[in-house]
Amino acid sequence: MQLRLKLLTIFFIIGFTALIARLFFWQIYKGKELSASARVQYRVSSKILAPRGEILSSDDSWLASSGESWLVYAQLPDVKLSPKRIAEKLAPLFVGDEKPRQEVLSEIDRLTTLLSKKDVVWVPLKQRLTPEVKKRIETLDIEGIGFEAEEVRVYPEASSAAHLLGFVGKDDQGDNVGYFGLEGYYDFVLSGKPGFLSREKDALGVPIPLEAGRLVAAIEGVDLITHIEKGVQLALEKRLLEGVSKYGASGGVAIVLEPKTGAVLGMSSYPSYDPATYWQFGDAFFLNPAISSSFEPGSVFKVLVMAAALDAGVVTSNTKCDNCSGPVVIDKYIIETWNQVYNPDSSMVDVIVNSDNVGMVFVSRKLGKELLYKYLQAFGIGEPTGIDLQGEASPRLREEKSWGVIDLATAGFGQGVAVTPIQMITAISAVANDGVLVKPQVVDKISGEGWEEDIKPVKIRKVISKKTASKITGMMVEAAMKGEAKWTHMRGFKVAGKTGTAQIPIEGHYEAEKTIASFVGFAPYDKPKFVMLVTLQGPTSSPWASETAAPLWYSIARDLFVYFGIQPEN
Amino acid sequence: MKKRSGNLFKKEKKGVSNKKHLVWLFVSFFIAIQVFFTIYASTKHSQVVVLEQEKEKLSKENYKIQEELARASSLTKIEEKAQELGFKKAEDTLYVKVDDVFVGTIR
Repeated sequence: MQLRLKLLTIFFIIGFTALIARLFFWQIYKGKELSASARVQYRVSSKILAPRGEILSSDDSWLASSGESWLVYAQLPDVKLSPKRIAEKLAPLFVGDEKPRQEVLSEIDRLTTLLSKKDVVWVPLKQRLTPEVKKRIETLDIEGIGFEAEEVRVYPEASSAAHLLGFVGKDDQGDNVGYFGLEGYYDFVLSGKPGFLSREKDALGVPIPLEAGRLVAAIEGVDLITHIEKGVQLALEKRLLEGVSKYGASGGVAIVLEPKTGAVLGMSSYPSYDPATYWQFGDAFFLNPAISSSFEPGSVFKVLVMAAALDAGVVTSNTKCDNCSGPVVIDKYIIETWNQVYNPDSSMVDVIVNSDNVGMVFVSRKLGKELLYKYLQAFGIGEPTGIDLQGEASPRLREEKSWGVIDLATAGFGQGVAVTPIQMITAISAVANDGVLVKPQVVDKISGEGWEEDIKPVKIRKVISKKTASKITGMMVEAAMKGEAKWTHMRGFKVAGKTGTAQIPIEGHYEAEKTIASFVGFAPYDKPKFVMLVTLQGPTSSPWASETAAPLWYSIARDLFVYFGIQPEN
Repeated sequence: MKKRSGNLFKKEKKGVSNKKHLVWLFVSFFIAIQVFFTIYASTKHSQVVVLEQEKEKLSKENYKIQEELARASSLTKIEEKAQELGFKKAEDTLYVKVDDVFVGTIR
């Protein structure tokens, strides 16, 4: 009996010791690991997406909005079917029914490779799927295939205003980032800030009450209300495309500004791209030529030089040009008129009307290097305009001390100086705005939840006097009515304008046949409602702006006159 | 003497017993309150969860409707549709000046 009791005691002692040892093993030694595994089961953390802000036109209609899309992924440990089998089911849905068989086969190969990966638990298969495609995949009921909600950018006007808007792509972390245009410039405020939610859930996924979860609320992106007028923008797009095709140009730019406020009412460039499918286009398409590409402006620049000379008082409208009877020789260069026609004793008005290069050499010489340089800087030449679009470039204005005699002469008629289209139209807008230079702006207001902030126009500086602005406007009116583009002039409409045909410099010399044809103008000239610049790159039907850019300008203006209610005078 | 001390002992015992009952009463009361509020909070929490799910559902629907609205209000699509329906954009604009005399005649 005693022996049995002793044996039982020893047995219980051993048993309890084993139990305690085992408990020690699971609770102390493996405790942290098991706790972490359990936390994975009951603790759920998720990122709260911050909806990206919208971009609206001046009438509050959408230029860019956000939509629903899905990322399809495979949870490889849960996949039952073979990679090839799954790829064959998904590939036609990913590629689309209308695509050729070869594309479907390539997609099958790609998916098979992804699904065959080892040492990987989670594999993304396809992004940016529409809800309709997601539903079709769900009906296939493939185990291990899941979906994650994504935000996709929607551009209702397709490629219209593509360069203005930019696009939303991904950064290295796979997060949405805006590139170029407004999406790039205002990316920080448009993105908002994602939130974070961490809470405990039971086996059915229902949150456990009375448990303190962690919540950081998402901050929604703000909306941008722009100055863009959809009617103006679409007219620009349509007419520019027609013009590029008709005149055989390789590219073109059209910009419309409101001169008093610098508001960008429309901006179009060709060639363009669709921001909703930007990955199908090469990088070359993304830069906006209106703000990034520089060119030698040619005769449109004469307006600025003449305005400077009038404002400085070195010439008046009636001053006679004393070297206009023939070509001018400077150093080893000969400067001629564009049509080999010379008009002795031309007045300054005649110089602008006839677009006389020799006359402009006279004006430049009268101004002198120092004054001309000072006025060009005052007009904003050589510095960025500060427009609220990502990607603006500014060609440098060569230092005044490096200018030779020939540089002074050629600057007078817009050669040897480089500008971007936005710099050119901003400078001309100063002429239309009584001599005051205003910063061009695309965005009018920024709007958030329950608040709105107005972005006020920015007056940069007074460049020329109101009287000078009036005189140079008068010259531009004469140029539009009686200059080389007079055949395109719309009778009765108060237009002030100037053509410009600039040769393209290539490897140290100017191309004989290739030009950049421009026309810049504003209307009505007494109370301008818009300023517009049209530029065509390398038109092949004719190198002259009077036969290409000018008629294109007027074809757009015809639409704008109706849109703005601009009536012809008697 | 014995009887008095016996009565005293009984009274003390009764006093202690009353205090014990009181303590148990309080404890039971607090336990009951705790249980009541736990159930109440859980009920409210589950209502909150349902509302949160409803909010998320409505938010997604709102998002979807906004996307549809943005696409439907496209001026480009309206123009395409107008062309399909046979509408033509006015190309030649005729400006008419209305005379004062004309207005007088109408009157």
